[in-house]
Amino acid sequence: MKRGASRTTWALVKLALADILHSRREILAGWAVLSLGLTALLVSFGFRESIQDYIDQNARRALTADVRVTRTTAFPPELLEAVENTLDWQESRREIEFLANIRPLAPEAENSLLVSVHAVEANFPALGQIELESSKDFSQLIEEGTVLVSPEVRDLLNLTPGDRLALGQIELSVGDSIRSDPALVGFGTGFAPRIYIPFDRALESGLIQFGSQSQFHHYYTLKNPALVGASVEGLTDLQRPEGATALSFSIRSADRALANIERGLGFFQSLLALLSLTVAAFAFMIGFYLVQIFSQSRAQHWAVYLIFGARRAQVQWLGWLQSALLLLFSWLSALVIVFLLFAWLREAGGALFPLDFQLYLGPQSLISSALVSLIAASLFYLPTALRLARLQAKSLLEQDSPELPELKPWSKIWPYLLSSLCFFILTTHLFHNLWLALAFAGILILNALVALSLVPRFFSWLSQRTISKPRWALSRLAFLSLSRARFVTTLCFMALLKAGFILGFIPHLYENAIVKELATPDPSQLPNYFVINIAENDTETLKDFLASHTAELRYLSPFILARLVSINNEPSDLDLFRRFPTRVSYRGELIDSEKVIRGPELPPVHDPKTHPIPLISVETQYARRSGMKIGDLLEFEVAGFPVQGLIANLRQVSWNSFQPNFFIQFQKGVLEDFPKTYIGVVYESPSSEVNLAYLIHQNFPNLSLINVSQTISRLAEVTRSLGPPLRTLSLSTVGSAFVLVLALIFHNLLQRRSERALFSQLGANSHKITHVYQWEYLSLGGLAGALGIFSGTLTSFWVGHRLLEAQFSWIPSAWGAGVTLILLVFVWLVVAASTTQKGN
Amino acid sequence: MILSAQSINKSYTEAGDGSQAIQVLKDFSLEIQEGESLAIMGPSGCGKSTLVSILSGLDQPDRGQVKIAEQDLYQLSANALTDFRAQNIGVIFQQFHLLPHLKAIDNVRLPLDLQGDDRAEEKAREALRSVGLAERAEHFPHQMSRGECQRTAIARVLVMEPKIVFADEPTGSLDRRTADEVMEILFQRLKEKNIALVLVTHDEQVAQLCERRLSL
Ligand SMILES: Nc1ncnc2c1ncn2[C@@H]1O[C@H](COP(=O)(O)OP(=O)(O)OP(=O)(O)O)[C@@H](O)[C@H]1O
Ligand SMILES: [Mg+2]
Repeated sequence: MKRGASRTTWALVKLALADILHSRREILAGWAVLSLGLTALLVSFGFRESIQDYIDQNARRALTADVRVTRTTAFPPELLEAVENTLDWQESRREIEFLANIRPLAPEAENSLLVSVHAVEANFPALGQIELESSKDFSQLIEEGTVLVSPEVRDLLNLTPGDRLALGQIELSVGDSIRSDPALVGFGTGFAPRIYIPFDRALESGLIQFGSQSQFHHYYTLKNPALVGASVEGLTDLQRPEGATALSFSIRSADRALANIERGLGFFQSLLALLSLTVAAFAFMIGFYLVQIFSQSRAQHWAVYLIFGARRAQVQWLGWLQSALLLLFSWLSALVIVFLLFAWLREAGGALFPLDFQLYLGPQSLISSALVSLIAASLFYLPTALRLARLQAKSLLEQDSPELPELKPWSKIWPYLLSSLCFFILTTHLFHNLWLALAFAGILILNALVALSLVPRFFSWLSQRTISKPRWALSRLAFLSLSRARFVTTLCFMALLKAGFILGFIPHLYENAIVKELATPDPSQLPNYFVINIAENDTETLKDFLASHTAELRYLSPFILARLVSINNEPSDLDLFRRFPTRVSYRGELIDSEKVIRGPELPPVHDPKTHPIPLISVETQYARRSGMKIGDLLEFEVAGFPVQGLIANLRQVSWNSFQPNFFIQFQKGVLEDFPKTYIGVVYESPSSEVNLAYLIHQNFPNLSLINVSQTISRLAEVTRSLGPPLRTLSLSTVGSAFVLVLALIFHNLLQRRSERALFSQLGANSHKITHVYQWEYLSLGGLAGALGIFSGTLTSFWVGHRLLEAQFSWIPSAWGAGVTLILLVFVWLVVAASTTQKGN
Repeated sequence: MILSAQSINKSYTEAGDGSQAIQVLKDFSLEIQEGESLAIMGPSGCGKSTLVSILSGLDQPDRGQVKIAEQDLYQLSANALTDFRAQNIGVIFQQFHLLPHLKAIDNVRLPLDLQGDDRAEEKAREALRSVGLAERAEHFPHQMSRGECQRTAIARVLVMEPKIVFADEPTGSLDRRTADEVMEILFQRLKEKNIALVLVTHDEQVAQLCERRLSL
């Protein structure tokens, strides 16, 4: 008879399926656990792919070009020529951007609004298209000299086409409002809503002076957009020609146009990766364990196959197939769950994500997760494969049921090492960062060491202590069982420890760091307006004007644009400095919202005799981000002249005070002669009834006012929208850990049926047995939960204290403890329910 | 001659060091004709199961030669031996070793399925009928009595149409009456098809059913 190979294969598949379907209860735990683990991974994969796609698709569009160069004054012709010679460009556009207030000229209007003005030519933009509400043509309306406003401006000022607006010294008529603007992908409008005006009129407005906040942009599309990186390199070289410091300009390229969003979403993604990897790590460990248990009980089947004509390779294949089927089912369930989850998030999480952001499971996520499942299936099966290779069919002739042969120590260990390595690779892949992955692995190992060393010792100590107390006899049985460091105990403990940690850590992080950092300060302490762009010779008149309207101008601070050239004579490599100017100031004394936390206070005025190099004060977080420390020598270029500064102290700033604060502050007596504008804040008397903003604009059309309370409510909105996802994430991780533990307990109880039978033969009634188990899981859970919450709280305290300089509150820990307690009661009930069930 | 074994030697080394070897079989030889039945008896631990596993191609002897249907078993490659066993040798166990997740009919089909036989269903039903279990085809092992389980195991061997069957204490877990029933069916079916039988047993009555007996 000839072997019908495909028919045999099919028969083996059917055998594997029949086995899985027959042992549903046994498989259930593994399926639940692995589905959960893969769900967590899929969410992470999907999120990451969605972000990447979003950024790839929108980056060029968002910049409306491939490269943009910017200066705070018009580009000198020779510089522009040099730029254009460097780029292999196809089309170019120019734009002037500045902040200004606009004021409707209708007789009854008493409003004004800070807007971001974009002065462009008719051919703007180079990439994409600005669409108008009335579907008229953008270029035509710009050519006709009208102003085009964003919907926010239209609504806030109640504008219709034909209305007239004052902008500095010019008047403009509203052409239309904008329906869609490629530059607005991302998180919407940003700082101030936009208007577009014809290029030439910007120069007539009188708002663009040297040292003001205006920016001159030139946009280029490249003949080959893929070469944007090289083009930026070329421009960077141009930024630093020896001696020719006056040629400074900043660069923005499409590949980094959405860098802010990328960073924002990246933070979220790292957190997501952390949590999903935690869930996956435990899910895989438990899955691994359950597959081993499953395989052990399959030795008899495999020996029978071997005796009845299956080749060993076929049996191996069948064993692997069972593991693979388990993961296939789990993967499919995970797909369904994540699909529904994303559909729901698209509905419910709109405000969380940037406009046009699509959350979906892309092909890359599907392939990666399938690959992970496949590799997991193989790794889970690997120890079994090694043992099955040595299984002998003749063991069926022996009295006892056949078992898989034991392995030599090394063969026992290396599959575990290989699995750990694979998981580590997955970790590195998801974090995109080797150090994070190493830290994650380190914490897991630490976690395991604690579980392996502490748990058995603690419980054997407890059982010693209770040895002569008859009332504790039942709990002592539980303690004894726990002191035997079984795999299940260790894993349960680790998972609960982690869950406790997350419960202790994330709510703290949110409450203490993020909420407090962005918390709304006492409104009576806050200024009413933040004023920028005050010309030097306007400061006195503005002060007097405000005083005459029962308002006060405070914290008037000079504002100077500088470019950081080098730190300690090393050219500064950070993009941050290379591409953008740094805002610096000087003052003689600290203001309320500042405090020096390291180093001495600066002497008010620079004295070249005591300090040849002027001293500067740097904001601490800025210093940390850019790697600056006390004693570093910074060299700036201000308006073409080199200026040096020696870092004397680090300064902490409470940014939400809305006082004018700067990252870098000089002593007096250094920068006074450079071109500058001033920034200040206006406090209005509470009883004042005039429309101060409107009056200021009428009298000082060149000033820009920011309404502080509006800005604050916007910030509060951001904070609020951060809370729910963070909380949901941590809760679902904790929930997942809990499901993992429950599945493990459920399976464990199933496995311990014979132990229970033994107990009852020794005279324990089922009530007492249930009690022993309840004690066992409860004391384990209690210990792990308490330790976890404690260490989580401690860590968040440390992080909050050291890194974020945040205040600390214990309340979130109390919440964590409460949740743990509820979970423990739940475990108690579940154990009771499943041990007293009929048929157990 | 269906089976011929020549000077079989087998010893086991103790699990730990390997210094102490227990000689279980020493220069053992045996011949069995087509359709013949042989009972092997002996005290516990004398090597009966070891002999069966060597004769049926499950375990290699240290020395010696086993030929079934003129084929030297231990000259074959592992896969060829598996195929050869599937076509010529059946084994019945004291513990039945039915697969718990398969219905009776599927347990019986198993050897045919593993061979890719396209008439598996038909042959399996016929085999079940021949052991009087046509009605039990759709039952799982845990739904059947021990006697029925052993009859299913017999059907699983019959369906392969082997030339020789080895049974290691097939009645060891059965009561007297059931044992007699099961043995009657086994002997009848093997006689009908002229299949040789090597039967290991402690049971005098069962041994008497065989044409020849051998004490180890
Ligand atoms: N894998 C093995 N390793 C070491 N010794 C073994 C092994 N298998 C069997 N033996 C020993 O070989 C001897 C023969 O075992 P065998 O199982 O063949 O006896 P048996 O006659 O079938 O006994 P029983 O009647 O109890 O089934 C016994 O002493 C046994 O301890
Ligand atoms: Mg035996």
